[in-house]
Amino acid sequence: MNPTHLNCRNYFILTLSWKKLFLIFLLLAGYVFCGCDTQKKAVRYKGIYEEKPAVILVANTIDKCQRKDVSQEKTKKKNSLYNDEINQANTYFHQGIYLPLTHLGYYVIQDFSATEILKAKNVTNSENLKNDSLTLVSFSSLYDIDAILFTTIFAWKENPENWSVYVHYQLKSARTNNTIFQIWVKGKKEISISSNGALNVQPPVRSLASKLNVSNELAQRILLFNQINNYVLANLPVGKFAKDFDKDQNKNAYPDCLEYSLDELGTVSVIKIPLEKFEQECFLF
Amino acid sequence: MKKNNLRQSFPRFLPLIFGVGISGLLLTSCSSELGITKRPDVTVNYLSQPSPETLNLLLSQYRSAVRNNDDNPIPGLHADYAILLIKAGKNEEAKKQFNEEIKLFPESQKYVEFLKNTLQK
Repeated sequence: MNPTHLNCRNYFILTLSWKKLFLIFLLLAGYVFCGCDTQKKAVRYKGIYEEKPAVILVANTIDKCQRKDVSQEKTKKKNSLYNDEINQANTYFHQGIYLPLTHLGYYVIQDFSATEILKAKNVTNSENLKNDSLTLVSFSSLYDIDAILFTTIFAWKENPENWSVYVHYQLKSARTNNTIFQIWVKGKKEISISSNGALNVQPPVRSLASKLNVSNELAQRILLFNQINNYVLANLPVGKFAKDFDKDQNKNAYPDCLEYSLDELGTVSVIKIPLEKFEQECFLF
Repeated sequence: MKKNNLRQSFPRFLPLIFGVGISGLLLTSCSSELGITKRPDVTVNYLSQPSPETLNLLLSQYRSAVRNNDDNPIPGLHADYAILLIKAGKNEEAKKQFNEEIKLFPESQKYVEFLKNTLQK
């Protein structure tokens, strides 16, 4: 048999030793296990493509963050300030969901209308609504709402180098009660403290604090929330009111659990993390 | 013999390059989606909690937003403006805004009709 008649497949079989094959296997396995098994949107957001929700209601954010103790006179003022900061940041998180979703081409029922609808249905706790399938599907039959977006902020964790927040997004179909999208996100904002104990503030935070007339500490949290919302929601399939509706199925989807880090200068890095890591950091430490 | 000739005619490390190349390509395509990205613009919806003190301010902000809502209308804007108008006691004007919402976005009809009937009682 003349070597020139060998096809490409035979060539590789002949030249590959077991060691090399094993090395290639290791590299490919490493690729899969390192978390870069990027799914296409068609797979990751299958439920959204199937149901094609157009009208979305954003439920009030479920806030599970611990607050600091304000019963001790000595620490009352400081802890109250911290608690206010968390309250306000979490409110901004909720408000920051509307625009990215709207820009994506969904009909998002705006804040005042959503409040009135939830009030009419006696929904004061979004978590109860999330677990009450009968009430949830009634939003479809009564108001033609296709899906409800639930968000949960589990915790804020602080250390001298960074502040982290743990968030969950869950889109539930109001027609079937099925979860058609969910993602767990750890948001991390790098911070630095000067020698006198004050927070060092970089231009992006300073300009946001001045724009919103809030403290620098609160602006750090709002900035992180805004960017997480923009990042996560921008990856959803585009909605009915967008030009590319139903044409983005071959684009890459984000994983279902990720860490979004923001350094002091505003540079972003995003990595996939295992859900176990999210849970351990969020609930155990 | 032929097999040995074939082996000698190609670099022995070609499979290794092949393997590393494929893995590199896969990793690169992954990091382009999840790696460093530009900082997105910060956008905050200020128009959230209505209170009697800020109602006039909100009304003027919404009035202006609604006027510029023709080319690429924002869903739900007219409905929210209508709710503010009801809070300000301007029911007739609110009705027009509710109808405008339905005209622009027919899919909003059910919930807008519900708001119209409930709030204007």
